[in-house]
Amino acid sequence: MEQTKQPESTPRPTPKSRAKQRYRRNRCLQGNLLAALLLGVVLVFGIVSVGSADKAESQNENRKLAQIPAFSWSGLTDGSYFSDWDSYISDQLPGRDSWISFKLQFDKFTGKKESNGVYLCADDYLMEIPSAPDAENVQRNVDAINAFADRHKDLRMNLAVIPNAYCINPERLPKNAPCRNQQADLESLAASFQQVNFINTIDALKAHKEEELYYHTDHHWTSLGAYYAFSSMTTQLGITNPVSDYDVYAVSDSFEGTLSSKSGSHTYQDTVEIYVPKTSVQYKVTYADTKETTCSIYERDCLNAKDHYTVFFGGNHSRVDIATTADTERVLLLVKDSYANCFAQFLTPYYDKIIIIDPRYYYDNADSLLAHEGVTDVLFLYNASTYFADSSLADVLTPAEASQQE
Amino acid sequence: MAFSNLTFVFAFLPISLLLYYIVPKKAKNAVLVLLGLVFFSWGRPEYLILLLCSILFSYFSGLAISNQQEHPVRAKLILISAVVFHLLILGFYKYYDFLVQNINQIFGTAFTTPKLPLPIGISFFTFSLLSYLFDVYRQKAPALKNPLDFAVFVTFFPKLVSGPIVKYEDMYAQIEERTVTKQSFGDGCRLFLIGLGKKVLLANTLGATFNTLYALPTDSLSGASAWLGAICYSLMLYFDFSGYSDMAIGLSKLFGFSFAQNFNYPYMSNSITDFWRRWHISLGAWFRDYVYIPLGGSRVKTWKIIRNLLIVWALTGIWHGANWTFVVWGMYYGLLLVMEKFVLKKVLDKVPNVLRHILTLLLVLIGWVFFFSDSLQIAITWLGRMFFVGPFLDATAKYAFGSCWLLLLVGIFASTPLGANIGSNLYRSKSKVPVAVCSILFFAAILLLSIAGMTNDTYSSFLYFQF
Repeated sequence: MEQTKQPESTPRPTPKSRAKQRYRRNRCLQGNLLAALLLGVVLVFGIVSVGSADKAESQNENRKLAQIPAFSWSGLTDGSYFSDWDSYISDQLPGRDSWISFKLQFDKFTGKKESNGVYLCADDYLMEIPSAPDAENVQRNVDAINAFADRHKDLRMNLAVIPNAYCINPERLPKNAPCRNQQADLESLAASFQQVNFINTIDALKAHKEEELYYHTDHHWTSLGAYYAFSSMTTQLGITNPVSDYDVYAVSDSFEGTLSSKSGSHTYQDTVEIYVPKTSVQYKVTYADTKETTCSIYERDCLNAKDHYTVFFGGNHSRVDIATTADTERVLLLVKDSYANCFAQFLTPYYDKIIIIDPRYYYDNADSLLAHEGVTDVLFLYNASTYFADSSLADVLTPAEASQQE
Repeated sequence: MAFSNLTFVFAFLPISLLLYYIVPKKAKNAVLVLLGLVFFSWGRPEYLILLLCSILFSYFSGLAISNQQEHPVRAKLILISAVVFHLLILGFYKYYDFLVQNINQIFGTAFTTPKLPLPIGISFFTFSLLSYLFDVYRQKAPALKNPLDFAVFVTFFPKLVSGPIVKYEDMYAQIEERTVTKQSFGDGCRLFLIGLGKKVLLANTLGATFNTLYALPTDSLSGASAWLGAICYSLMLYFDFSGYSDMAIGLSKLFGFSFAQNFNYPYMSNSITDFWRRWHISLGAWFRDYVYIPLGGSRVKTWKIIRNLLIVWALTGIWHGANWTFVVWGMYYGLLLVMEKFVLKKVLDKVPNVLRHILTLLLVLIGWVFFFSDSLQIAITWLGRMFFVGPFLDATAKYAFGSCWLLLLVGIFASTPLGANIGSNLYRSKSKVPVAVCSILFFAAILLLSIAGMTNDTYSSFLYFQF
């Protein structure tokens, strides 16, 4: 205490008792204010949420939002009625999206570098935290591809497993972030193929690593990334005189992709570009699942939906046939995942027909397809993350008799 | 339901306050019971019957015991049978599976168990019920005649599912007569907000770091990761549990109940004895009053004191969960306390306070490794990694530390009384600045960040990854 002690006999209050009084007064005042704060905030939320209409869906979370639960006795006894109320209250909380962004900003401030399995990287890049390859399925696919290539030695067969963003741009990852060495995974994968030519795209992509090869907010590569990969593999694909000129159009500048939704981080909007080869070759696209026919692989309507990457073919399909006027007497079977959706735009000038199958949705057999369609070339194109987790490729490549015997 | 949940903060709490304060005094206890039952059955209604039966059973047992006060033997028989009944129910839900597993392992049998989910809060409300029976038997407090009053004692929602385990003798007077003042209401709000912040802002985030480290395969766990994981867990558990207790005690104040604190800065302890006077105080008091002292307490021969301590700590361990790790954790404390009391007392008295504090923290940290491990094997491996078996520093540890160091600092600060001391010194000071008004900014930040945190916990984007 800085004050000198008062003699005990004086009737005036001592500094100590004054301090005590101040303490009590302050604490009491603080208590009243806190009660007002807590009740006030709860009340404001209550009024705002009662006064505003319930939302049907969330753009950010890409899902329908819970509505006022309907009462039922079965819901009451199994408890779902209660949890439905929990969902309703949290989904319709006033300013839900802002609260979530606010928390993410706060977490970033306190040093957090990942959110829901997504690394929050430098330059507003988001990258999925990679998981270890599924060894059993990887081996199964390797065996199936080798056996498939053995049965069809007459075909030009290539396999390209595209590295993911963190493999090309590890410098963008948070410092010390635990991460698989995807390059090593891909190298050991390459060594396991004998009959199939394994196309290495790592070097071609790394040569342009400062450019926008991958979307910031989505797990896909950009058309530019696909362009560099394609340019590096034309010889291996047996393409002489590749087209050198493209009309490049930016079809969207407001793309917030899956990683944005998954992490809840909405700090960047991507530009989606399409590369239209300058050739005289025309083509027609036929979707096997919907039987629809169009004259463009680009679906403009999809730019109004959330996922702008679906501008290519409108997303994934079990089988898509592209018939062209190229007149090269070559027919390509493209076995792929969604990384090929934006890659296909580079292939149209060089084949009379391109048959695209996605083994995750395609349940027929590739061998019979080869026989019927007069296929001359086969290209497997996957991104590493899906390839190392894939469990459906081997089924498509295994002949019907063999799979019946199993 | 948990307190750190949007439904609780924005619906259950305001509705319960509203109901409680608009009904006449006579109906207030009925409102509390109703709220307690809804709180208990929120999302898990299947055990409501079990809770109601347990309440009725104890209610009648309590009356029977107090009617037999002239016949101590009869009263004791009723007490024993009622206690056994409650312990059997607790045992069936919590330990039956564990018991059968061990029997199968020892005798090579293959008995199966129904694998029932644990009724929420059963360990806590069973101990409340037992406290009632013991206190009525010991005539510390009279049996309650009105079943509704008795139901308030058990189902009062702030303490129903996670404590504090308030002894009946401490609560009975408040069941019939209690007052809420402006000051106690404000205190309640303060405690609730502090607890909410501890739980949502510190425990949940430190827990996330711990979970990442715990999920690592043990062969890629470095020494630094093991230490960081154990430290994060220690702080997480403290903020989780003491945060919950703060919220419970705070909420109780809003309804006029006043309970003693359940945590008193346990990480400031300078001995294990001290630690257990500060950690989960209500549980320690329960075991002291209803097990340790009836066994003879400390007023018996040394070997009996040791026996009593070990019994109490084995029970404390197994109370925390049906796993050998909890038994080992409990016995570990039993042995430490015996050592402290009988072997090392004179040595420890000469050790400087700082060293004793560090030693205590280290021993507690080792205890938590047993506590969080799913098996003894994991615990041993974890401790092995901590004490320099294998590589020490790796990128994973650096990354984990990089993402939580600030929260660790805040956590360490918040587990000391420094913050509270600064606050009360400011209140005492003659500053011109309105201290109380400014402090509201701090609490408002806690509240808003907690709302953001609770909302973020419900974030679930629908992702159909079309790779």
